[in-house]
Amino acid sequence: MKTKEIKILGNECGECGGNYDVVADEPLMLYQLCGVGDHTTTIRLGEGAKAKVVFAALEGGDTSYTYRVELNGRGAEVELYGLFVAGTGDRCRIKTEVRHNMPDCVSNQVVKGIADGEGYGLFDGLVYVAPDAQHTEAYQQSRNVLLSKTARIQTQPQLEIYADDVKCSHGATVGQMEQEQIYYMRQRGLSEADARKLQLEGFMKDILDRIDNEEVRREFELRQMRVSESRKGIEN
Amino acid sequence: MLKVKNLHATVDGKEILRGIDFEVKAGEVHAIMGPNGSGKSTFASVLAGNEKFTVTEGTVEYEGEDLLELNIEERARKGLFLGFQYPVEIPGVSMANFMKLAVAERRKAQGLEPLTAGQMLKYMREKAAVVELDAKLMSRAVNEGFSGGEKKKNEIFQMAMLEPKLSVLDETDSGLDIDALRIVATGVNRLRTEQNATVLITHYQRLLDYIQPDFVHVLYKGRIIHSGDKSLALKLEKEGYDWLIADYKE
Repeated sequence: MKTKEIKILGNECGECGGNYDVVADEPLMLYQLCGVGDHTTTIRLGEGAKAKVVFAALEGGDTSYTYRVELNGRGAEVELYGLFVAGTGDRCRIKTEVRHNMPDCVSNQVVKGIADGEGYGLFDGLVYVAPDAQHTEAYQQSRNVLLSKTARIQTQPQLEIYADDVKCSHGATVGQMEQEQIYYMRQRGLSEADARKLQLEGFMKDILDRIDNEEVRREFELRQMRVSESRKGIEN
Repeated sequence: MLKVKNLHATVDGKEILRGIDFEVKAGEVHAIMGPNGSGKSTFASVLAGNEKFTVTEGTVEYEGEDLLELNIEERARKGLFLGFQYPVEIPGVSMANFMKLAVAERRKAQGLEPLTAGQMLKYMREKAAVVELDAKLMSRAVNEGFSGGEKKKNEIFQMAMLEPKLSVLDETDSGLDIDALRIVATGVNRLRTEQNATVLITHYQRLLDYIQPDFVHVLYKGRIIHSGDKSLALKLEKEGYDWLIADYKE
């Protein structure tokens, strides 16, 4: 079984509008590291189909990703992992809609956000479980940090569940970087700037770790490095 | 090595340290004991430079320098190590990467060449063995998912890696079972030299069965109210603090 791997590492998607119909014998692996623009993707999964998406908005500006995922066949599985970083003047919006239309499907979403300066970020995530979609497993996490007092992140996790035999969980946090971690690293001799950089990279790492493709990984690391380098001096 | 004179410190305007006098020479091991809330951990934090606390009076001289003029990392690079009572978890930051940077800073301050990747790996394995710490933990995130015992061993491992001159171990024994306690204590003893010194902050005499202190001090209400040799710890274990602190109770 061969995975269909799609890499979009710039704005070659234009304003995207990707449509994917995924079947069991050809799983989808979609990487999107797009720049400014609205990137909308629809993924429909048939019986036993699997899709994994890793996306990141690391370029600033007005960048939004919208994913509409329909689990239309039994035993379909989708994973969505995303990261956005919004500095002054940037507006990042992540919208996901995962529809469990059939039983025995699994969805897992982890979206992380960082905002500093006067940046703004939004996560709007809906999980819908249809009345017949028993034995659904749906997980959604939205984890966000603010690096300045003027940065803003809004997170709107929503679960609409109409079946009764399901496992669903969601969590949303918006917080600040932990000072205790910085103190600990400085006590071992790291400069405050290096400690902040490590901490920020650490926060982004579990999204990076979802990338198996070497080329995408390098590209992600490069952009991530620009992000952490340019922000390491920033006070909380 | 360390000379503390009349040290006063506050947190959120509340005075916790109220005039500590304390001196450590190279080669010595000191134990600081005392009931809960007497200021032991605050003292350790103030020595490390924790910015939550404000020094309002007194002086601290370390290796002939004014310690209070140095920031947290400058103190660390000059060989002051604090073993945390509650080691901090840092998700996404691997032990190996963290130690690479920390060791590089320490060596730079000592005027030593940086280690090559191969030397670093070997060095880490060697030091992990000192505290029987599984070398596999090096690829994991700092303290994340470590057991209580592993976290404390990890503190001593880091101490071994950084070869400090002065180590202040804040309740490193708390929450350890007897095996982990023995391993941690053995590690500390193996790292002892004539050139370095250790300050153990502890609640219990039992750590001192494994690490022989030269001096034992009792801290109470932000002051060292009594000092003695190892026999003081035994007496405290038997008789508690009441005979000492009766005069200080309000």
